[in-house]
Amino acid sequence: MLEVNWLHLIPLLPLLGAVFCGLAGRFVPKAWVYAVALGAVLVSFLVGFTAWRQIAGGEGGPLAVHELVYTWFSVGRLTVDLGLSLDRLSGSLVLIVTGVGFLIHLYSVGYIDEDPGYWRYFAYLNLFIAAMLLLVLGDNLVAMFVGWEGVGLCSYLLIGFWYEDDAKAYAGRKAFIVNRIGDVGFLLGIIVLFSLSGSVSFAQLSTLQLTPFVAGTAAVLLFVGATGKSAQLPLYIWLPDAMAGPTPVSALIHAATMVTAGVYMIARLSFLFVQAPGILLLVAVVGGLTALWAALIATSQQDIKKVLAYSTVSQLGYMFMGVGVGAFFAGTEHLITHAFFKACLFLGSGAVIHGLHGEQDMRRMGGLKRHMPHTARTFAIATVAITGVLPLSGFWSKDEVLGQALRTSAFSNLAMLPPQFKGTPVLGWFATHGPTFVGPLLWAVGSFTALLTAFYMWRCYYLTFEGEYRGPDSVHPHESPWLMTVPLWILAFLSIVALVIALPAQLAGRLHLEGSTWEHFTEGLFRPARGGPPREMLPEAATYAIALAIALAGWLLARRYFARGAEGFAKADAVVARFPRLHRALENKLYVDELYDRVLVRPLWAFAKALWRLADSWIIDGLVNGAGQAAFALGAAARKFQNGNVQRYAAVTAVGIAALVYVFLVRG
Amino acid sequence: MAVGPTHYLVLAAVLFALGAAGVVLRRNAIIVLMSIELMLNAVNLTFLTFSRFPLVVRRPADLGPMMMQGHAAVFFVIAVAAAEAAVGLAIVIAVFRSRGSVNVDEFDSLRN
Amino acid sequence: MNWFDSHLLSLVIFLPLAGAVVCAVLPRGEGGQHKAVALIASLATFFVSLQLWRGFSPQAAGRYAFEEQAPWAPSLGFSYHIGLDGVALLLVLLTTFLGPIVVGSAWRFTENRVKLFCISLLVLETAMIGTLAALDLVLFYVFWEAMLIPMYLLIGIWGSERRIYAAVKFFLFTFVGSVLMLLAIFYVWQQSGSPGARTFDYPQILSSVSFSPAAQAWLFAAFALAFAIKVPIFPLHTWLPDAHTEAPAAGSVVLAGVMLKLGTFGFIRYAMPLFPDAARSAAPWIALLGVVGIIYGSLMCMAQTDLKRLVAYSSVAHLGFVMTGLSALTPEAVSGAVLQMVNHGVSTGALFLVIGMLYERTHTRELAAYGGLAKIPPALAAVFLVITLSSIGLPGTNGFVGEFLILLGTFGANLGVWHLFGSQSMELSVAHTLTVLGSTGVILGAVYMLWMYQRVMFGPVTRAANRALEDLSAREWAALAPILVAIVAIGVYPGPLLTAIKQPVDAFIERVSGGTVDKRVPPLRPPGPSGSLGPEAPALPAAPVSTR
Repeated sequence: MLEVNWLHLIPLLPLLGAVFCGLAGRFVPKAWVYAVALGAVLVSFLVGFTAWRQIAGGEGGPLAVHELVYTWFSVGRLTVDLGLSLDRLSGSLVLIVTGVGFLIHLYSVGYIDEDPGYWRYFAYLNLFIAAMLLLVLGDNLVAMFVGWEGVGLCSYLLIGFWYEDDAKAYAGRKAFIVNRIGDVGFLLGIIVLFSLSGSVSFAQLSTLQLTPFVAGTAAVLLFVGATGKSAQLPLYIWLPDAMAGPTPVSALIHAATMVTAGVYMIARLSFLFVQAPGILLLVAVVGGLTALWAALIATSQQDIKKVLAYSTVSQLGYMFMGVGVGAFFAGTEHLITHAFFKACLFLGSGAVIHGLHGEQDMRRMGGLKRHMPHTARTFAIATVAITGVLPLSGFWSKDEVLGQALRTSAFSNLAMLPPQFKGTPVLGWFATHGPTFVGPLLWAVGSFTALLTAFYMWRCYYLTFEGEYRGPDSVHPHESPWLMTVPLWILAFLSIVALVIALPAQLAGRLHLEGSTWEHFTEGLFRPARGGPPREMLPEAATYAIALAIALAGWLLARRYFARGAEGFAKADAVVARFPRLHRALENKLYVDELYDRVLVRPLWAFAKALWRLADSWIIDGLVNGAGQAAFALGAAARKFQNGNVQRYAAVTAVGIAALVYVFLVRG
Repeated sequence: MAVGPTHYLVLAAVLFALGAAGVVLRRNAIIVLMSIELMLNAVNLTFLTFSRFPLVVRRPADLGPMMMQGHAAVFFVIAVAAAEAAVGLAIVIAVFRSRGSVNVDEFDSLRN
Repeated sequence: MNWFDSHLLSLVIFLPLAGAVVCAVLPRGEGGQHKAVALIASLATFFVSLQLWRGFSPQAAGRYAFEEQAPWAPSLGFSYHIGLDGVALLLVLLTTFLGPIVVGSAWRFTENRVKLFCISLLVLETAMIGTLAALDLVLFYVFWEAMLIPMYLLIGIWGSERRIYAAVKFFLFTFVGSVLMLLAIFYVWQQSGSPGARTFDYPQILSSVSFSPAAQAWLFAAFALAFAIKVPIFPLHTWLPDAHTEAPAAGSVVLAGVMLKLGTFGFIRYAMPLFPDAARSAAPWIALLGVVGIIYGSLMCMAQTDLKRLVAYSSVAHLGFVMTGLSALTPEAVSGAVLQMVNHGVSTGALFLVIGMLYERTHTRELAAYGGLAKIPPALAAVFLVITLSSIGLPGTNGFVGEFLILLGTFGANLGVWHLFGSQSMELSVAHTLTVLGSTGVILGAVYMLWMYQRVMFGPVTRAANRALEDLSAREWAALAPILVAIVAIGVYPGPLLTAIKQPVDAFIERVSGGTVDKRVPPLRPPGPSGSLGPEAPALPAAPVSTR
């Protein structure tokens, strides 16, 4: 552990950049805004790189660079420090956040240049980078939570950037609120862990020994938080709507960084999750289901950004699957490769939209590779990476996850049924083997999803770039300025080169690249899942061959329908005509938003209104005003005594005196 | 029979009751004033009775012409009654001049 | 100057009153003069109160800083006894901080009877500071009641359409509670000693008088009723929406900013320490009412169409958090509650300030009349956003620290268990349940606040007249800038505040819960059923799980 005092510069510089752009951005020349915003991220990257080199050296170097900035607050047993810790995991993420973030800043200069709110945009973008860095670098749960909510805030601000449109503003609000639902789970998880240990710092919590039930309670609460931030079932609904924001925002926040916070959190807390294998099972299953669900929806989307959004949700599902089966390195490995190719895809789609002056519907695209050669080529490279038709980075990382799922033994110690069932015919198998079948099942689901992924991504590419242009004549598509195409090429390059970190150990050994795999790099960082050695299933080469075959099948299928012009489309329409309702359901996102709206959102608002009318206005205020009315009524009754007749008063007085005399003199 | 204090007191009580009844029941304001006078005179009679026939005899000197407290009280009461009659009649005349009636049932403007 | 130092607290209390006297003496007609005097008086009070902060040092239990005592009616047992502890100090500073801001916010607003307006504001400030500083029950009561009349005037004369109804409702509601409290005060006095040796002095009563549990129950109920109406705790809250809606902006700021806190202050200073046994048994119920307030208040907010009424209900929700924290009786929760008192004053006061600025421009409070304002006065929109985020407890703003501490502290509280359906086996920990329920307030807060913000600021412009709204003037900036600084400063560096209140909080907990505050940090390996029963995990894994 190396203690330094300059680590805080990494999140501080973008924060200062945000303050400058936000307060002064309207009054200073545009170039200053760009310089400050880009410069802050760049310098942050350089500082991060310096720190990274400290811990990335060979044996004998420090495992982490640490700084205690100050003690934020300390009450009773609770002490919350603002501490930053850069180890191999967080350091690599810092590089990605600042590196990819810088490329996206550069791209944004070209993208947002004509918008009058550009200074606001860069302020929010810098603020986002600062918050994300705090999230990644925080050495305790509360510091991470500050960054966590901070990125939620920036997400709100950036998605609703064009707020004159109510729908876009609503999308931002939806994102924040759904995130907040997850955040409450996170918060409760922090509180539970504190109540068990008196601490919130990762270092101290990692020494905790807990029973599965207690660990599971804390873990499931934290997982709810991860679900919200990383858009898994059932809290993924904000991510597709978040496409309302500017496309570079989608690239940065919703592809490369913010949504990966959940995966990072689970990896960081590996010591907790492995003590609750039941929750790991939940994580893996949710991840697998989400991957499949989102991929299905993505096959029928017409908006290019929606396809990529659902693709992100699906790929996040893979990451969760990876950490869920105990292979934390695999999940985070896919996180890194995904950052590169997904950012490239999003930025490419942004270039397309920019070049078509706002068109996002793929039915009105086509043949753009002639007008936008750079965009088309980088998009193609990234598509190859994500689908895995060639062994670029995405192929290796995705299939690492699937391979780990197939062979995982993390669930061997879980019991599904009580032992009494062991002899019975069908249930007996489950009683004996427990949920170990989930691993291979997830592999199958994940492989099928890979088929879908290949299909919808290549469909996306062909519809956009191949064939004839189907848009209106008034729109003349053009290539983007160099500010936008250079980042595309860099990201495409990284998508290819990153395969080095994802190579399997044997292959890496033969190529003398063992030291550069992610698995090797993060050795010792994650607590291993209990359950024993990996299970023997299919041989490795076989799984890779199957994966390659699946990817090729998906590509060929997409090519058949979407790369052949009108006759291909006709064949596609014929297929759709055979399953009209299914297709419509998929196109309408499986009606999940409508379900939530009808079951949760509208009843809640109606309940609030009804409660107000009934409880507050009618009952409580009724009581209050009723008390006033009662006082008035009493007064009116008492007033009858005062009729102004003096004789009556005299008579009453006489009777009263007589009574008093009687009481005092006679009764004593 | 010997006329003792009891007789005087009974007479005073009857007079007082008649006066009280008149105050409460009569409608004419002047009659009410007269009834008040009657009550005051009944009180006078009571004072004189107890002055003449004291309840407690401690010393022989308590009896006889030196026992005058009751009589002194009567003087006070007569003076007050005179003043009150004068003021009361003045008020009744003023009210009669503005309302045109001396019927007490009509003087109820102090009601709610 | 020696006299200055030894009478610092009295100076802070009565400086506004002196300003009111000056105002009263000045002839009517020149509105600007009175406002200037009010501003100078409140600013002077603020700067003098800074000296209180600088000269403050935590005292031992039972002793108070800046104590002054002067005899008033020795035979009856009450004197002019004032002093501060950490909690009172923070609230006094909040009052003096908001004082000039309140005066500034009404600068353009009041046209008629300006003199009376300024006098009311200043007298109100004196009464509020006096309530916080009083250490004698009679003195406390006098100042407590003295707050009612100026507030009644503020609402009733310069308010909106239903102002008379709102003013009367406010007055009577609050007064009823106070009268019962007065009876309780008399009973306490009577029990404080033999005839001739009785006292109203708070520190003396605290240290020497104890009551039977039965008496405590009634006395606590009487005190708690008065404070519960003021806080306000559900279901005694219905005066608040009307009062806030009808009051002028300045009135709302001072009402939400300070006056509501005096209710919670009453709990922590008087109701709970004086009657600890009753307080202890009532704590779970108060916490429950707090959580009900959080959820109910938030739901009410979602049903509103009037901006001020919405923020009024949000006060109910926020103070529900405070009451839950106070009843939890753990250091984290109570500290969080006190901190949240200050935070609520700043944030909600600021919200009303901004709404007042909006109202000055548009003359309506209906949400439907707003929309799309973000581009038109952009600085106002930005400031409004920051204040909204502070209100929903975004980390980095002041609201987060308080809410987090309250939730964390309540989770660890010892509030007993509820038996589900009367059975002995199905138990629900009260503390855990209330924490979970209360945390939904975090979500609901975001729901109604962001909805409100969107309806006001985002979307298309709905009223053509709104296109001409002005942005913030220098005067408005002067009022808002200190608040923004406070929001960020408390959010990032709450240390000094927490240190100031540490001693009174600990003393409060010790007194009410009857035990010592557990300051030991538990070992990281918790004993008992949740402890080390799992298989040993190696300190560092020997080899990663790998398929290779």
